[in-house]
Amino acid sequence: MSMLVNKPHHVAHHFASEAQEFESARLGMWVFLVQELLFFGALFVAYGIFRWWHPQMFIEAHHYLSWKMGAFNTVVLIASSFTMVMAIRSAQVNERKPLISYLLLTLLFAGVFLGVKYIEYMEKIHHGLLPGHFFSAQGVSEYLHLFFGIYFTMTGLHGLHILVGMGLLVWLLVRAIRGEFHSEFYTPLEMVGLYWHFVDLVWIFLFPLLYLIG
Amino acid sequence: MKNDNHASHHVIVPVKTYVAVFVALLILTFLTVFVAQFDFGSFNLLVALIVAMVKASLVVMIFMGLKWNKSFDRFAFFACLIFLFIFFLLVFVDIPLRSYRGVEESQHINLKSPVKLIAPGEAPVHH
Repeated sequence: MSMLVNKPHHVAHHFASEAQEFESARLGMWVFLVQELLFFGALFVAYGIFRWWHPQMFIEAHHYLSWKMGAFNTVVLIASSFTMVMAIRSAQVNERKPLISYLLLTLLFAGVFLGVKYIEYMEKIHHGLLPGHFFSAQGVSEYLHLFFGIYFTMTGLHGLHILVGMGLLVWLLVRAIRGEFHSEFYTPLEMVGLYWHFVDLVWIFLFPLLYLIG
Repeated sequence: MKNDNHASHHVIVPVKTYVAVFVALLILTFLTVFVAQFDFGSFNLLVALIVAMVKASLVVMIFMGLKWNKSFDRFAFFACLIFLFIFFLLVFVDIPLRSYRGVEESQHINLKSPVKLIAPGEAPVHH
C-alpha cells in the first residue's frame, strides 16, 4: 500500500511558488538545450563544408552504412520520444504504474538504439573505417577517411547523449517507484523529457544526412 | 502559496495528439527513406532536409510542448534558430565562392591520406 502514496514536494526556499520553481527549471533546461543546438550546429557546418568539397566521396562513403539499420534506429528513437511524453502525461494524471512502464519502455528503446549502434560500429571497425590515422580501409576517393571522421564524431557524441539519457532514466525510475512524481510535482520528468526529445531531434537530421546520400 | 499559478504549467495534452504526432513522425520517416530510392540529384538533399525540418517542428512544438509554452523559453529557442541560420548562411555562401580549398594547404604540411586507393569497379558495396 505504501508504494502508492504520493510523496509531497517541498518548494525550495528561494522560490516563491511551485510554478515559479518549475518555470525556472524549464528555462534553465531550454538554455542548456539551445547551447547544445549551437554546438551540434557547428558539426553540421563541418559536415556541409566537407560534403561541398567532396560530393562524390560522400556518395561512395554512404554505401558503407546500412540505411536499414539507420531507419530502424530512427523508428526506435521516435517510439522512445512517444513513450517519454506518455510517461510525463501519466504523472500529470497520477497514474503511477503506467508512468513506470513508460519509463521502462523508454529505457528499453534507448538500449535497443545503442545495441544497433554497437553492431554498426563493430562492422566499421572490422572494415578499418575508423577516423584519422586509424583508418586502414580501401577506397576510390583519397578523402574517404574524412567522412568517417565526421560520422564517428557526430554519431559518437549523439550516442554519448543517449548513454547520459539512460542514466537519467534510471534515476527517474527510482524516484518514480518511490512515489516522488505525481500531478503536483513532475519537474525532473519534464526536464529529462526535453533533453530526450532534443537527442531525438539531432538524430532526425543525422539519419538522412549520413545514411541517405543520393 | 501552493498552486497559485497552477494552470500556467500544467497543460495536459490529450493522448490522441501524442499518438497522431507519433504516427506522423513514422510516416515522414518512411517518406524520407522512400524518396531517397529515387535520384533527383541535389533535389534529394532538399527533400530530405524539408522532411527533417517538418519532423523537428512536430517534436519541438508538441513533444517538447513549445506550442503551449508561451514563456521566455520560446524566445531562447527561436533566437538560437536565427543565429544558427546566420552561421549556416555565412559559411555556405562563403565556401562555394572560394577558389581556395583546404586541399592545397594539406600539401604544405605534408598530410598523407590513409586511404588505400582502388579503381571504382573494385569498390565493395555494403548496403
